[in-house]
Amino acid sequence: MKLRLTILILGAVLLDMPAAGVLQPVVIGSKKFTESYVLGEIAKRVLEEAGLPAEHRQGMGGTIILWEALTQGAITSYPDYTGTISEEILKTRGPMSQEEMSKELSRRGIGMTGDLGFNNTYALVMRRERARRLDIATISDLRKHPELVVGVTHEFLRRNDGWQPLVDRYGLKMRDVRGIDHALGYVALANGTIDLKDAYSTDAKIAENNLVVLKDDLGFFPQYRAVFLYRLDADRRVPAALRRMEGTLSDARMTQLNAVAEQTKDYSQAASLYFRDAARGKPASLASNITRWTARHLLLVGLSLFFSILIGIPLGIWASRPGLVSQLILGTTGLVQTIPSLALLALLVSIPVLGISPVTAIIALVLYGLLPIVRNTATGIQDIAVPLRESAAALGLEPRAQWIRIFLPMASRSILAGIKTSAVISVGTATLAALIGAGGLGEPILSGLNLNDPATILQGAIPAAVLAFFVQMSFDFLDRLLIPKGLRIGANRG
Amino acid sequence: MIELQGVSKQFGALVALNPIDLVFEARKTSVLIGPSGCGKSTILRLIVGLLEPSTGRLRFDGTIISPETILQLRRRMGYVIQEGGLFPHLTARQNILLLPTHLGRPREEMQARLVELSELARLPRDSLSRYPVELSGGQRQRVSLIRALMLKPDVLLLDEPLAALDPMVRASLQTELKAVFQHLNQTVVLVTHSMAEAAYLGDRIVLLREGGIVQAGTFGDLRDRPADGFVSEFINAQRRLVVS
Repeated sequence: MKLRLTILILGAVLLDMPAAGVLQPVVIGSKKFTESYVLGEIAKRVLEEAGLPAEHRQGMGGTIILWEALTQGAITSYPDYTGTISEEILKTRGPMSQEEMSKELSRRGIGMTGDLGFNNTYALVMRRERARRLDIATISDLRKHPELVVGVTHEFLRRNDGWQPLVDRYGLKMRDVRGIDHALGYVALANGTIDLKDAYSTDAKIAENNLVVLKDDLGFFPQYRAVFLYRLDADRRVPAALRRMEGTLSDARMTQLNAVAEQTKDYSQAASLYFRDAARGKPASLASNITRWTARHLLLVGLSLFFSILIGIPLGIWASRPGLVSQLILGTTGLVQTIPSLALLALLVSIPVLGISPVTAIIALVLYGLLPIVRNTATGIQDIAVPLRESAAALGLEPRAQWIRIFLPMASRSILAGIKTSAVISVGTATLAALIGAGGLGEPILSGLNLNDPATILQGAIPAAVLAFFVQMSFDFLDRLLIPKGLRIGANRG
Repeated sequence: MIELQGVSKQFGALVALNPIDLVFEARKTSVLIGPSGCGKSTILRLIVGLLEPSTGRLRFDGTIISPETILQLRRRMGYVIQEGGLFPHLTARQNILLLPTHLGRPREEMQARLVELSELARLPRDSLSRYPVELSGGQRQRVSLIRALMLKPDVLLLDEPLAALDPMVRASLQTELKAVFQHLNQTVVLVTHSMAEAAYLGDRIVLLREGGIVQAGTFGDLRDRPADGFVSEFINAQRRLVVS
């Protein structure tokens, strides 16, 4: 309990340092696809023009994560679509008017702006020439072609207005259906790995990749009018500013902004287009971006490593004594390691007091970093020969002094090796922290993945690899400093 | 100095030591000897508190040896084991000064004591700054002996200190041990399986077999007035080994 408090305080102090003392900015979230990024960026500008400092947490995840973040207060507002709100958030059967939706949401402390002007509904897309060759123009035409390979997003696979209800409605019998990331799906479509995927009707990639939208001849897909959701307890100027965007974006306009965003790999430039001002804010230079991401990354890794060591070494000492407790400690820390990192993040996010925050990311990293430290501490101590343990006792040192002067120094090589492993793993795992808006080098990796832009991915991946290498090197240096010379000579002589 | 009253030790069903009474006198070298598994090391480990007796009690200079008293009593004992028991992450000097430093003993006094004991144990000066892996077996035992003697212990406990050494080194260390004991007028309890070593170093020899005392006395007593056939057999077996 006391520890968690410390983590919370430290996390809050260090991670929110730039914001502390200054006016708290309005935090806008966005989902992990281009249009949402662009809308988030536009909202940020709209708020800033209204005199409200705003921050945009890009591409935080899917609907559930954004909704949780909004209701928990980690973000103040994010863009969503009426179809998603009724089907996924309110889980209603049948159509619902925007008024009804707004009323229903207000009971949960959330407000909704009016329609921004465009309908971005789901659509099924194919390569134009393949559709022509197979003579497919509508979704009903797919009944004749159960052999086509389908690759849809994981979210679409699960949605109430997604793949399964669509199949039921149209009576489709597709044999090969896979879940695939949205951006990667376009690549798979282009190289022929899949024939069919889900898309958004304003998606710039449809025109760009020469794809054709299959006609929804049975009218299955609901309306997806874009709106902004916001917390009702937000500053009154926030909804007022957001409402200025109502009805300002047509389908064509949105498709154009999406296309600009994807071509320039720059969401703020697309947002600037919305305001039709050429004099857009100077984008941050690549070097300063990488520096910022890396600093944040190091902070995440450093903090989590610090706590892993603080918890891991005492646990390791405890686990070094044979018995049930030892097996319990090693078993539990080992179990945590087997949970996929994404699943662990999702689990932690669902705990109310944690939610979407950098603290959650740090807790996940601490848990991940424990096993190597605990195990190496325990084995390092267990490896001390019995005659030496007895000599330490027979000499007349009290137990505490035996640990500090003899056992821990003798196990130092093993303990340091565990810390090193933990640190290197942490540098890699910390890239996932960006998924829940904790920042770091995962940020460019995620947006690059979304944009299908290897260059952006590398802006995060290369510094992360260099960082891991650097961490490894500095620990090799620390070895010389911290491991007693007598042990190092011993190891060299075998 | 050390007194055992009805002391026995069992490990589960295994009897390591039957109830025995035994006294180790001050300023004498007492030797515990016997074949493997006779309980000689068990007695030493009971004295230094690494084991607790199953029955009976041990007294050290009048104080009963118990978990409550053992920490203070250990600081009045010096304990040397077969491989020396030196800590590999410390140099010879650090090993020797570990406890005195921890207890905050005066530096100059300890430095003088270190020099005195190094000369007595014939430890080359430069080996003090070496780590245990860099020392020979004989040097390691010398360092271990110095470490045990630093705080002028009331009793020196030696558990087969020479067993792992080659014969040449062994012979010279034997001579030095004797000189050190005499010079310091030291109370010593030595465990060995070599009758020659026992005869050379011991004022009194306690011969054990299967967890019990067979005979206690001087080497002359054991040789001239053996309590039973086992005693003569044990002495002669080792003698034959030397002759053949």
